Amino acid sequence: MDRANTGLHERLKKTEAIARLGQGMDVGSLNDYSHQIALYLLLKIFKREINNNGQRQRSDLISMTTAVVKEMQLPVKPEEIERLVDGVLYSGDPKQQSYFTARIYDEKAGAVKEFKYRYLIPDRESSNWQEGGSTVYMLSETAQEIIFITREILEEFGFDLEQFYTLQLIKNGNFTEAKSSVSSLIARVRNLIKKEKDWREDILRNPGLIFSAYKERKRRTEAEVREQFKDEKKVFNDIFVWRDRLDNFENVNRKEGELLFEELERARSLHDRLAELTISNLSLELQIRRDDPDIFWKTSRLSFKKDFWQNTILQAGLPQMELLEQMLNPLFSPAQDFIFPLAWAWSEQQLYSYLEASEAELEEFEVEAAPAREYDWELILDLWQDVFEQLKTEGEFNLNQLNQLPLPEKERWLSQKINLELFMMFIITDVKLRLVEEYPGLDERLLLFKRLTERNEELAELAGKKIKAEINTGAEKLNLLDQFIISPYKIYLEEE
Amino acid sequence: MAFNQEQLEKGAALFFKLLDEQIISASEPLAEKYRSDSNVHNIVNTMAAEAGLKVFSTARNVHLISKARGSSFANSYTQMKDKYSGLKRKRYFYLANIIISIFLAEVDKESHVRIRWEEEGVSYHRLSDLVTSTLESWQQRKKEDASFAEEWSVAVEEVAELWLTEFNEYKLSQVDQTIDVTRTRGNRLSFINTALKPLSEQGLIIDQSDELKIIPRPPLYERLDEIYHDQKRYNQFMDLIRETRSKIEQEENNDAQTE
Repeated sequence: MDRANTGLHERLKKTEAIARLGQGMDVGSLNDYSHQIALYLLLKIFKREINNNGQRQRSDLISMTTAVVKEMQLPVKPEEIERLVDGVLYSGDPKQQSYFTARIYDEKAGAVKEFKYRYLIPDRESSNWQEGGSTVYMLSETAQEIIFITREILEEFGFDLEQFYTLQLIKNGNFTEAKSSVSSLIARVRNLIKKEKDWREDILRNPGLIFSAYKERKRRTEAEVREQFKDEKKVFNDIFVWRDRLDNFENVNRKEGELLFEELERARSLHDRLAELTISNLSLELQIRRDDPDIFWKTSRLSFKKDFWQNTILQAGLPQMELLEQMLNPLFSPAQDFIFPLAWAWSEQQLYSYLEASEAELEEFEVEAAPAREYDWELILDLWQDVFEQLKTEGEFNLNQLNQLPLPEKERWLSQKINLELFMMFIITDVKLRLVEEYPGLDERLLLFKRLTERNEELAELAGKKIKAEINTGAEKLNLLDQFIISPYKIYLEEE
Repeated sequence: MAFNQEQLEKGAALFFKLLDEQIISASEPLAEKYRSDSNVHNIVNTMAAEAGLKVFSTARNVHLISKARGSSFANSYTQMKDKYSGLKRKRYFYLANIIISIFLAEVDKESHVRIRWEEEGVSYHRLSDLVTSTLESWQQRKKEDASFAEEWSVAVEEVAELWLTEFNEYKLSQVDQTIDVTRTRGNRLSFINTALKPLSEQGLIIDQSDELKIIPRPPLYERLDEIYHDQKRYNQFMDLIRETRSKIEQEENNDAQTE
């Protein structure tokens, strides 16, 4: 048997939202009417929402409210109207842009719970923030409920019932009523579309929801969903049969009938869109369950808010202010204009393998087995000898030193692709110099070192030392005739 | 790690695309390769690690980010640091870090709850109030608790001097008398705009400066999840705090002995 308090919490949420709409602020001469104006404003916004009219920015809300105040023949004072609009957008001091909050008794928990809500929320799809547009607002679910409740439509009143209701009204030739029923049909589909989109965002963010949702609200299987959409589609078809019968009606406004069916056409295409979305969400769920089963095991309960900030830094500070930087650094990506030597080298590689692939089928082969190229080793050793001698005497070599070379020398460096690959290898990974026998696939840096020592025995002293690279921020980039540009790295010796 | 030429090229291609774009959609073919091919995955991660960077993927995107230390790459955050280097200007960078942290704490969620990010916008005024109350609470802690980190308190005083005393709350635009945070300097709201610029330039937030509102974007939540909702990283940070603290104590002891 139902107890009197069944659903009390949910009911209280709604009465709370209704009771506080447009209240609790000082709007001077509008004080006595602020609630009425606020509800009228919500209705106007909702109407625009249903009609896909994006003119729902704060400035639009102000002009809508001005129109309402004028219509009600109340005094128009811009600062009062602005205050009223902000009072519908936010609770308390508008500067804080706060939520409305209320402490409401929850009969299930036997305790008072906090209820946070807004009447108007940003419509992310209409807002164009990326292009610098202002926020476009839409009704929150709470605000929509206010509108539905005041239209005596219960929340349980489902989509299919609304459809049948529309059908009945049309059969009876009651087009005016039917039209408002179609509006509510459209509102419902839009609502469901938003829910599906939100659900998609939710499961992409937290796939664990897929499981909890199964328990919570028993997600239907794809077959069931398809069946339901098929049924709803059929009702639409039934309704559209009556379009052809418009001429048979007596004493009805034919023009209104035409308009009605135009609206219905819109409802039908929105409904198709909903079906698409729902089905694609179901397959996304399936894909996530199949591809990333481990995602469900990620159950960290740590957060920045609680663990890093509130319980640590806010409470006890840090030993040094610099640690904040180390904490925040990983949030950021490297800058875009950075030039990495590999980009150049690999673009060559890719072109090469692309040509290769178009001629023959791509075989799997080890990297080391890349086809041998013809090198002019005499030239290469000439060039690198200077670099290694400097390493030996000074311990480091700045790549941008090459910028100072005369043109023919630069051309010599560029003439051998391997030079640039060698630079890139030195930069990417450290290497410990050793004297080893040559073999195919030997690290080309070691090959270079071996051949250099054959020319100049003194260089053999470098064996056992490690060559590392680091960027010299702020220095000039290495630029060889605009054909090869790398960030200003230096390579240097590290003592063992 | 045995891999073939094609995997190497795919990995390199993805890495450079990431260097270029920082975040790429998980639906791009290269990103799919990263998620499905463990060799490509390893190649990209190794290349990133060599450069002092880190790659991670979510159901929606693949991200390239810096490491706590050791990355030699410049970005808008390090540029900000460079701008405020030097003894006198350092407190600006400290303040910016505090503002970023407070903003993150404000929009972060304690568990993987559903987030309607577009509804999570924080107003400039609210953020400003939070910075004020945070600085004041640290000053208060210092008075009540003598053991409150010494070096930190000194830095807090410098920052508080700047924020509480030197800065106005805001300045008005000369054109239309509205609050202007982008073309004015030396006030709290405009400095919030400056401090959060690295976040907006990386597409992590939408800085609606006309409406004085900062809206977090999904990639920010993905990074918060990856970086700060992780036990290992939390432990690392706690270790770092302990290490720094004992280093400072040791230095103090040494100083005491030499005196």
